[in-house]
Amino acid sequence: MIVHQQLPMSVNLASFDFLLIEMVHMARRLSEKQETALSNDEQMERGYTFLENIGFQVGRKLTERLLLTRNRIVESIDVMRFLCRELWPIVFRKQLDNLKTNRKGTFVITDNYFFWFSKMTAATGTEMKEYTTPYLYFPSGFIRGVMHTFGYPVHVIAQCPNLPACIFQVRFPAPSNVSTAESTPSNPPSESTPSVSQQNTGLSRTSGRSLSSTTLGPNNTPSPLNPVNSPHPESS
Amino acid sequence: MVKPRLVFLAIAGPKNEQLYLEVFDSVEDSSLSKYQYLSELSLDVIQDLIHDSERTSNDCFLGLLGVEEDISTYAFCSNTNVKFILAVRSSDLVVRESEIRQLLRRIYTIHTHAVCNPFSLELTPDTLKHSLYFNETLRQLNSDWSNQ
Repeated sequence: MIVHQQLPMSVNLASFDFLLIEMVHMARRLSEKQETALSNDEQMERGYTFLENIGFQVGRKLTERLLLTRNRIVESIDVMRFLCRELWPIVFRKQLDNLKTNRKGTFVITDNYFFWFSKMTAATGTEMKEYTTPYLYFPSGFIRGVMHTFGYPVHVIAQCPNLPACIFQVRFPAPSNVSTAESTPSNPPSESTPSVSQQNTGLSRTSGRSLSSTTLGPNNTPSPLNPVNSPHPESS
Repeated sequence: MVKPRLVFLAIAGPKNEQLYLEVFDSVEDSSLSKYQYLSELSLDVIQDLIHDSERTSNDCFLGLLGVEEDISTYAFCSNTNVKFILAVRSSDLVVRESEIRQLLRRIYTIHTHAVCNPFSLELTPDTLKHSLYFNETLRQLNSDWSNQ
C-alpha cells in the first residue's frame, strides 16, 4: 500500500523541478531545429505536443503501477475518487482544492498551490500567461494519461490564472460518438461552468450547478459524475 | 505435491484485442488455434462477469471460468481492463484456487513491470511479445510451478 509520504525528499524534488524546466527548453529547441515551412506558432505547438505526449506516457505508466494493489475500480465515480484522493496527494503532495462538474461530462480540477509551479514567479497579466503556458502541457498530458489507463479518452485543458494556482478542465467524450476527443485546445468547452476563465485564487467552494448522481452507461463511457464538492477535511 | 501443468496464458487488452498468447504445454501440434478459441470463449465469459451488476465482490480475480475438455480456465481482470486468462490442464490432481490466484497476481505484477518500461514508447500489441523481461520471467514462473 503506497503511503503519502511527508518526508522531505529534497534531492528528488529539486531534480524534478530542474527536469521540468529543462524539458520545456528542450521542446522549444527541438521545434526550432526542424526546418519545415511551418510558421513559428505551429512549430511551437508541435514542440509542446511532444511535451504533452511525454506527460501522457508518464501518467499512464504511473497509474498502472499504482493500480497494482488496488481492488477493482469499476465506475467513473471511483475513477474520480482515485484521481482526487489517492493520485493527487501522491504526485503533488497535497490534496485537490476544488472539484466541480457540470452534468454533461466536464469537470474542473482546481489546485491553489500547484506543486510543480511552486518555485516559479512571473509578472502578472498577459506576460505571465505567455510564460506559463508551455509548462502546462506536461501536467495536462499527465492527467490525460491517467484517465486513459482507465479507458476514458478525455481531453484536458489547463489554465494558470495566477501562479501557483492551476485549473484543469477535463472533458469526457460524449457517449454517442467517442471520437470527438480530438478538438483543438484553443476552443473552450461550451458546456463547462461559465466563469472558469475569469477565476483567480479566490474561488468559491460551491459550484453554481447542483450535483448530479452518477449514471454509467452500458458502454462504459460516463456521463454525469458525482464528485466530491466539499473541501477535503484533512489538509496536507 | 504434483501440480497440474499450465497449458497457456492469454492476455487481452481493454478492447479485447489479444496482446499475448503463450503456450506452455501443448500435446498436439495443431493446438494453437484451439487455445485461441478457448481464450475467446473465456473473454466472453469475462465480459459477462464484469458487466454483471449483481457482483458483490470487488476482487480482481474472477476465478474459474469454465472447463472445456480437459482444460480449465481461470481469469484475472485488472483495473485497467487488461484480462489475464490462465489455462490449466485439469485432471485428477487437485489445484487450489489460492495458488492460481497468487500466480495470476504475480503475472499481473510482471506484466506491469514490462509495460512501465520507460523505453517502450508506444504500447502496441507487440510490446509484450518483444519484452525480454516478460518472456524470461514467465518462463521462470512456469518452471517454478512445475517443479514445486
